[in-house]
Amino acid sequence: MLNRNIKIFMMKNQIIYILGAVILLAVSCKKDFLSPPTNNLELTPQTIFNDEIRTSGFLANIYANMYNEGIVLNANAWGYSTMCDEVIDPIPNLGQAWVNGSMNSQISSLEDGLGGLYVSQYTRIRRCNLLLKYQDLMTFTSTSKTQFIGETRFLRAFFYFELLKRYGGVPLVTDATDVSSITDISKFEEFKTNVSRASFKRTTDFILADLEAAKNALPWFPATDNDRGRATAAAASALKSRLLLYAASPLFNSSSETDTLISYGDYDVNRWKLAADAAREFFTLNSTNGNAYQLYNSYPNLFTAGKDATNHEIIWYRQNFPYLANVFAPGRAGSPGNFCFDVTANEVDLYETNTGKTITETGTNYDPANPFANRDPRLGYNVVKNGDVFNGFTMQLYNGGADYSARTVTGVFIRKGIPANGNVSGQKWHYIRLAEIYLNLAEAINEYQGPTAEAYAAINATRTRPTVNMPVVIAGFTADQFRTKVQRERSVELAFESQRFFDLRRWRSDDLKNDFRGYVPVLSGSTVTWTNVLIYSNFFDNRMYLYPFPFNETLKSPNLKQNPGY
Amino acid sequence: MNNKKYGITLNITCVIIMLLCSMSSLLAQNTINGTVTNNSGKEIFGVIITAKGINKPIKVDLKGHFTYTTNKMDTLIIIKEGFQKQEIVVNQFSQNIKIKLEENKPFQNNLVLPFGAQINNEFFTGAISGISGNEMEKAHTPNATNSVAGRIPGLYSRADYSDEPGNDGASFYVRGYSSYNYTNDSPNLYVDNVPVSFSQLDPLEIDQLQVLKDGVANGVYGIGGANKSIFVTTKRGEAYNNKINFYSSVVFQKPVALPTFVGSQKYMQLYNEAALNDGLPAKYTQAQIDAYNNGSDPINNPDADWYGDNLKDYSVMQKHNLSISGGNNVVRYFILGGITSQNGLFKNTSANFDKYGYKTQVQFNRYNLRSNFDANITKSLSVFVDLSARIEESTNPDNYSGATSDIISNMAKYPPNLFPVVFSDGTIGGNAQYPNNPYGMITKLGYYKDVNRVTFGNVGFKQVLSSVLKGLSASAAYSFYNSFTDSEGFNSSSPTFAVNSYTNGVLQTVGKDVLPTFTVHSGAQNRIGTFWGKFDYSTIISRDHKLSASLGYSQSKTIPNGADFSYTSVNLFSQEHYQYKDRYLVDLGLSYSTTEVFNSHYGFFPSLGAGWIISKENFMKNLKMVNFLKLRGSYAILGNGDISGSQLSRYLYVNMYNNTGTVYNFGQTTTGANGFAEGALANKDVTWEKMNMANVGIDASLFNNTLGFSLDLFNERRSRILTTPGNISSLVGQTTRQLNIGIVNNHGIDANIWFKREIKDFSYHVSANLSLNANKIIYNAESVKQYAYLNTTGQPVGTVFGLTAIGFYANDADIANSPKSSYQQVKPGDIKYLDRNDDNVIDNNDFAPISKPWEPQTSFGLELGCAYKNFDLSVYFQGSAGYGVDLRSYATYGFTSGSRPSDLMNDRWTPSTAATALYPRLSFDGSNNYQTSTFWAKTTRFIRLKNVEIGYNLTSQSLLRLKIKALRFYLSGLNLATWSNLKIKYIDPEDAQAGISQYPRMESISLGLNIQL
Repeated sequence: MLNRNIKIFMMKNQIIYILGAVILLAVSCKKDFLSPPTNNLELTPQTIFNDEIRTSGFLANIYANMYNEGIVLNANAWGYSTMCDEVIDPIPNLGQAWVNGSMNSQISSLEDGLGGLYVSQYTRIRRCNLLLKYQDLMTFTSTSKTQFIGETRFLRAFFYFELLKRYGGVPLVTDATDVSSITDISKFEEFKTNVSRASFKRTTDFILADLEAAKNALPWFPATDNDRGRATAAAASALKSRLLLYAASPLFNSSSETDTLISYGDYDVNRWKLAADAAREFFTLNSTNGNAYQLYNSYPNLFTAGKDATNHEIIWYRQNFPYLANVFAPGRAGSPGNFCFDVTANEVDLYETNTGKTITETGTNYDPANPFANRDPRLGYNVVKNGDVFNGFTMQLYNGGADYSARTVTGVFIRKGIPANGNVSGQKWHYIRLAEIYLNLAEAINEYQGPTAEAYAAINATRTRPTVNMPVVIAGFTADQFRTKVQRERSVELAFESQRFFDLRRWRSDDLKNDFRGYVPVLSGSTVTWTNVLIYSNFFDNRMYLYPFPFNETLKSPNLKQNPGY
Repeated sequence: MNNKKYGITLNITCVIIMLLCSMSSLLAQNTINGTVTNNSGKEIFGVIITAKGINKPIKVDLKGHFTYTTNKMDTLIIIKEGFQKQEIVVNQFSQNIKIKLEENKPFQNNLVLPFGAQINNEFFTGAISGISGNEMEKAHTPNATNSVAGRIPGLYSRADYSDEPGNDGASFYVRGYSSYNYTNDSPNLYVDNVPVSFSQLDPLEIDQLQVLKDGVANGVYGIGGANKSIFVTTKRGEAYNNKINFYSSVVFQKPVALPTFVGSQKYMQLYNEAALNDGLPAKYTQAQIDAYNNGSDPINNPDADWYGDNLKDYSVMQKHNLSISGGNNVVRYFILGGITSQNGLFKNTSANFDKYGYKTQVQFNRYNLRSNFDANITKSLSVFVDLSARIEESTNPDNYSGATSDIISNMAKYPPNLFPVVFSDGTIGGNAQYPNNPYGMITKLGYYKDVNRVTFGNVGFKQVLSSVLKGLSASAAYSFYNSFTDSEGFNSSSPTFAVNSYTNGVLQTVGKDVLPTFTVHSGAQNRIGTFWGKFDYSTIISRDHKLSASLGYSQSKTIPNGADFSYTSVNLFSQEHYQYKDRYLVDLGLSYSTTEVFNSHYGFFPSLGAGWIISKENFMKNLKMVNFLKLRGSYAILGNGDISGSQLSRYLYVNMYNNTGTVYNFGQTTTGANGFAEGALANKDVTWEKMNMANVGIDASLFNNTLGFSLDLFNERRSRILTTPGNISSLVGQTTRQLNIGIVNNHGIDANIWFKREIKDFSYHVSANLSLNANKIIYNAESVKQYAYLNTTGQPVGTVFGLTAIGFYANDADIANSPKSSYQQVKPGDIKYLDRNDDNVIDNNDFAPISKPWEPQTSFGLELGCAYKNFDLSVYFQGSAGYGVDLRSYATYGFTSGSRPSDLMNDRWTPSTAATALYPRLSFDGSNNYQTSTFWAKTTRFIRLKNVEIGYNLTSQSLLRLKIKALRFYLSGLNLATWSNLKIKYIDPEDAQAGISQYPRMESISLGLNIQL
């Protein structure tokens, strides 16, 4: 009996052993069996920011994602030129919401289309914030670290400025939001409540601080040829000039506007002085750095000669952004199904005659029958019209002509940036070039102390470029007259460069209300005559000075205050 | 070594027994005469009688008579499928005995549960419904998923694949959806405990298909239990029930209905009408149209019959099977070999046979082989070895998988008047706009073939450990499944064929014949390895207390094809069953399990069921009408650990930074820099979806077991559904991985009721089942919408959103006074929609729930069966209701989407038929009219006469003399009639594209034969 009990006991033990063995087997193979093969593949902040080359790659990816502010952004889309009176897109597109009055906060592509870039811009800002957040991990060469951080602060300033000029004050995100503030319900509620806009002033000051930091950290000119395309102290200084010019402009600096989210809430003439000082500072620094930036002699080649090592006019630009070349050339000069855009008469009429007078002033040599004769040479560089030779073809843009198509509304198209030889490699998109700083200076000085000699010198800098050679502006203007002059000069010099859409707004310009007209060539017999035709009536409402925040975003964040009128 | 020894032992035992027998025969011998009948005294065929102590069955003749000679006390064991096993004690003094076998009572069938557990249905507290393989065979369709529709309460099915040979099948789900992540919510399929589909099994190798519906039934699956399961077991040999079965059937299949499109003259008239409607010049002059009148010039004035010239009236499928099963108390076997060969409908498939030696018919061939072996190695150790292999070959014309749909689509789309199907000289009609003549696609472009080879091995043992502890046993099984698909074909890299057309008598040729070449083989392989092992303990504590318990471990590893990591799961499970007085029942299931995506983080999943067999209570004894009555209920918390996505994308807890490749070029001479970026934000706390499942059920059998029913009510709540939130401010600047935040509620009813009667030679039965469910999205973190009616929250999963059609625009004034369509410039005769938000614009902001989901939420089946003498008849109806069908297809597109009008366009809108029109005006632009709207999304219901089978069974002495035990002939029909509210005879209610842009829905007649030796 005892024996049997022992036997059973031993048997039971055996079972326990077997059981134990099975569980042991299960547990021992469990680790290998289940664990995902991710550990060696996973990249973490530690492995990225500890490594100089990877950090550099992380930064490069921020550059890569910069918004493509093209003349036209893509085939069926829009550009800032189509959103103002520079060109007409004959195919209805969403950009037309800006000129037909249908602009509202619910246009579905607003978040990233129509230049709204709200959603994607905060993705770019997050990337900057991440790099700045993990700077303590960067134990590699300290000069590289300084360079990376400087560039990143510039980029963040640039991204915020792009928001500022569209929306006014925006929410300032300075840290990479942690996932727990989304996953944790209580934190999420707090996060939602906290999304609100900073005042215009705070946003401006924030950008300014980043720019100053970048300016102090970065070299004035790219250290080596391989660094071209990187942000520099010059880029920071130039952007500061533009930022302060915008901030001093009537849209944001006006006694009639009290909303501090979209403006300073008052007028202060000193803001113009700050703008002028910023432009002056650029030239001072430029001269202490051996005048590294200079106007490029050839205006027409400036936009197409991307690889020209002597082109030192461009200060801040997007690398490898071809102007999409022949696709945008009209008719036979382009490629099948080309996406060319019709230049308006509004744009053509901005150019002075080659006497330096406008077409409406008395004593010009303007010929209404041939509106393109005797004009500022930049008109010829910027547009291609009926009768011009382009890409080897003499343009026939009249109804029935060889280059006439469904795209032809006027007889004038964009030429700027389209290389006649079709070679687009190495082209850059110019965010800021030196000519603009001269015009910033001229405009700012005039506003706070009237047209001084310094102001005349600045405006004449762009007019006397060898390929332009327009008569210089001679002293004797009132401040108002000079303002008109400098605004015209700016619109002509910087045509189709995504400037006029924003300039018209910050000036609160009456041109925003103009109808769209076009010069249309009409063939009668063997001669072509130009007629000035109304293309369509414009619509402008005060709300359209600024962008609407995407409707979805205002629903997600109840404290995100919508811009007025939307 | 052991085997040999055992063999010797066996032989010795036999010799001894024989000796004993012969010795005893010399002593007092008694021959017993017996008969076996059923309860009502009718003889039963095929009874197996064995006696304890002898290893040979006792012969029973056709009348149920047997004789048995003995000189001592013996126990006879009488077995017959469908009847309760009986044991009778006889001795040398026994006289003639009459044995009456009790038919299996309802709810007393044996349930085979996961991991080899078995329980009598009578005592189980969970919800399981099933069907036998023999029943499934009645559908005579090659894909087994097509043979369960409407047959099992709680199982919803929609035959939304076409009936294309090799490309058929139905999708199904258990008790509706409880998640809006559809792909994560289909039931888990198991064949003999291995997670693979049963779709290509021969129904004749299936023993039972069981649908595990509630928490207790799925309890041991733990993290894999929330989606519920379809659990298939294959047939096994029975001792002394030796059978050789030969099945053969020929099936004639024809399309249920093909769409009818307009002929040349009508086409041209309508084309002109559409052009006129769109403000374009008429294309055809009256003289041109008239020229098509007499048919005298089929070259220049053709009237191409795309369907008629390319499709045969019917196709043939053949299926032959041989199964051998049986064995003895030591070794049992089930072996099945089968061939299924299904031909398609295309004509002219031998065009290249002489030249290249291949045919281009749509074709499906399948070869099934299975051998299931059980052996008792020792008294306490039994093993099984199951091996199965399968080859599936699917062929279609043209050089890519799925070309059949394109060929059928072109039959629907191509105009009839531009060129003939084929010219008299054999050149093929077509032009640059219509270069893909279906005839050319069938004859000229080679073929594509997928060959899928499946090998499946499953071995296991059971060791009874009664020497250690009475009632204890250990069992384990290991399986390996390998599926290898090889693609081959005859084509060239850019095959093309010349098409010709005559324009004003001048022959135009487009393209040129490119000779096909043999394609390189390309393969894809999937492997699954599983293991499970467990200890079972069962004991009868006292007469009133019975307990069984088990503790086990299982794991599974799926190695997918391509660059991906293995899918693995690990499960430690335990299952307890307790009976008190055989009427109070408790089932408990516990699982501690996880899958590879949770970083070795385990979940604990309990399930509990309770039952009460009321009919066994004393107070019920006098209620003779109630034979069986059981109440049961269960509650469980189970999980779903399937996260879709390949490679790292399914490891949601991983915060990934990515190498984005060369992204930005710096420098005048441009040097590339490798970019790195942050990936979607990790869900650090990722966990399984959680499913709370409650079920209450009642099972009853009444009036001497002639009427019975089962009714189940269930309520489920799935929470932590993985969801990408849409309500997070973009200021975060980064997307997140899916978070465990969604909630869906689901509840419903499964019921079935049956009635059966036997009157002398005539018996009949009726059974019906009904499944209803309703679900609702409680929370899905959707993006904030401007209008509440745009929200999917609060709606059933899969609700169709669209515009509400409110008629046609009557005229220009009507258009001017109506909200503006954002889709196109509308004209009179276009569909007018409701401006739900009153903003005077018809756009996507006017979308609202307009139709039930595409998947049925109501499903039902009705079976009527009777038998008279040697004849039997069964009639089966099946249907669904309350689901959406999208009617947009080439049959309703008119001229839009490159289509040609069907005869439905006779009811199009024209100014004169505005009052009665059923379809919008003809136009080449459908951007307004073919928006998702109530006009096309129709809530649908249908009933199908799914199956009718008449059989004749023969068993006679004369057959027995030919060694044939039984013979059966049958005539069977599938999809014989369909009634639906769609009212268009060629639009199939389960697949509105069938015959239009997919292979047609088929009806079939089968002639079959079954010989049992």
